[in-house]
Amino acid sequence: MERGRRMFGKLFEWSGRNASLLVTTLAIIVAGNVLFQAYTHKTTPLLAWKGGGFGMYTEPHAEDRSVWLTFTGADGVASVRIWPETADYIAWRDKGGLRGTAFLNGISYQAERFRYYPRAGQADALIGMAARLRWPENMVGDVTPAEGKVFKRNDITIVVYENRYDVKAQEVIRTSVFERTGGQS
Amino acid sequence: MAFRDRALIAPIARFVTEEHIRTLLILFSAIVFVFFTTKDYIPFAARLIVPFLLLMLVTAPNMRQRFNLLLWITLGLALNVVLNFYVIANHGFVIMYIGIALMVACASGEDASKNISRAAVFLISILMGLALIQKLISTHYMSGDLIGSYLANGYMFKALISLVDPSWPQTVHQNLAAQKALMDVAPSATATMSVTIPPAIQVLAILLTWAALASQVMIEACVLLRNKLGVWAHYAIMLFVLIIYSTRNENVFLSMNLILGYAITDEQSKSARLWYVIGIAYLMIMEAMRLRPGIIG
Repeated sequence: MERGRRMFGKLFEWSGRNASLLVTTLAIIVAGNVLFQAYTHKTTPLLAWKGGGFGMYTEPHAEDRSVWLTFTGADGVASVRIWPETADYIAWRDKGGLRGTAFLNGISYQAERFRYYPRAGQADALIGMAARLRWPENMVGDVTPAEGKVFKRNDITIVVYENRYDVKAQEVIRTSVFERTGGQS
Repeated sequence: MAFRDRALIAPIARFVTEEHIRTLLILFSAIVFVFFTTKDYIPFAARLIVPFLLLMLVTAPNMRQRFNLLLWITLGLALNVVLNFYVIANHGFVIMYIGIALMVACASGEDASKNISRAAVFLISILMGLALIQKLISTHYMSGDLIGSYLANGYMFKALISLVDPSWPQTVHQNLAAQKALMDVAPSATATMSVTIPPAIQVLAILLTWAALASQVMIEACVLLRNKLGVWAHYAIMLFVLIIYSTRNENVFLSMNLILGYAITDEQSKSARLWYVIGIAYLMIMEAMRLRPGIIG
């Protein structure tokens, strides 16, 4: 206790002596944070609004992004939107029982956060979760796994789309900002 | 009789005008409290402990205790930043930086006001300046597409435009439906959906785009020229906050602009302090109650 008090006391006195230097250092850190966020936003799919969000009100918001899974099966390709959740997904989740609902809630939670800054690691985790499920027919239609009851990771692709306004052309354009198939290195 | 001299207001006005650091600690505590209780992503441990620390902070009698408490509160804010780095917007970062600046100020004794003022000038000018640059280098923003989308979706001036064009709510509804339909389109390389943006709205989007840039330049100039402008620099900051408040739901962000403005007031401009405090109190109450009266919809 006494040692901790002495340590805080020393930190207090040191901060007081170096206040001017600390304020300057804080300014440098803030500028570095903003520049790092801007650089990451310009070079990766990080939203301008997140990771510090210092580019807010320059680019589309997270509400303009959607997360899709595509399943390649024996009879074609099926697509399921996992964020924003579809009515079918919500109904499936709500009927999933205690564990099933928790698992599907986990997918929704991950997908919601994923759209802010889609990256390979998080994509693989979501694909891994999707590969553990038997997707219902009302969501994937006639598309069935090539073998077994669940789709393999290699057969699942995650895509993040973004809607952007083009005011002059009077249209909204949806483009892919991130795409990854399971099992990629 | 001046507003600040009225019997009920005078004690508050005197306190917030003369007690710079103590008022800053109270304002900081109010903002962190509202921030921590209204955002659901804040880590549970921080959400549980920080409000108690804030209570101790506003009642702590000496700078050493305030410094220690601010250290723990800032650690709570830092925990939120670390755990939600790519999830949170700038509020979480800026309030943490304000916490650090206050901590340093509390450690610097008689120079507390001077140091917090210097830190606030750095914070507001760096954040505003670099945000301005980000706007200038964004083709989406500079083309008017961003503001145009807010207008076309009815997020800005919907009621005002409806006064001129009675069919505008219907157009907005159709635009939103088109976007929802686009969200539902199965994956493909590119998909598009037509929306309706009349030429007058396109012109308005460009005008608002440049008006927003001009207001940011004005704030930057006011902060940098604050010694020459005196109290008018602070009225400009408050006007900026008022304009943003009337168009966007950004109460926590705006309260941070006001606390930084309060922090940079000095002997020459301390008459503005009461208005900053009223502004922050109003924004916090509205945020906690989830109300936004006086909005130009």
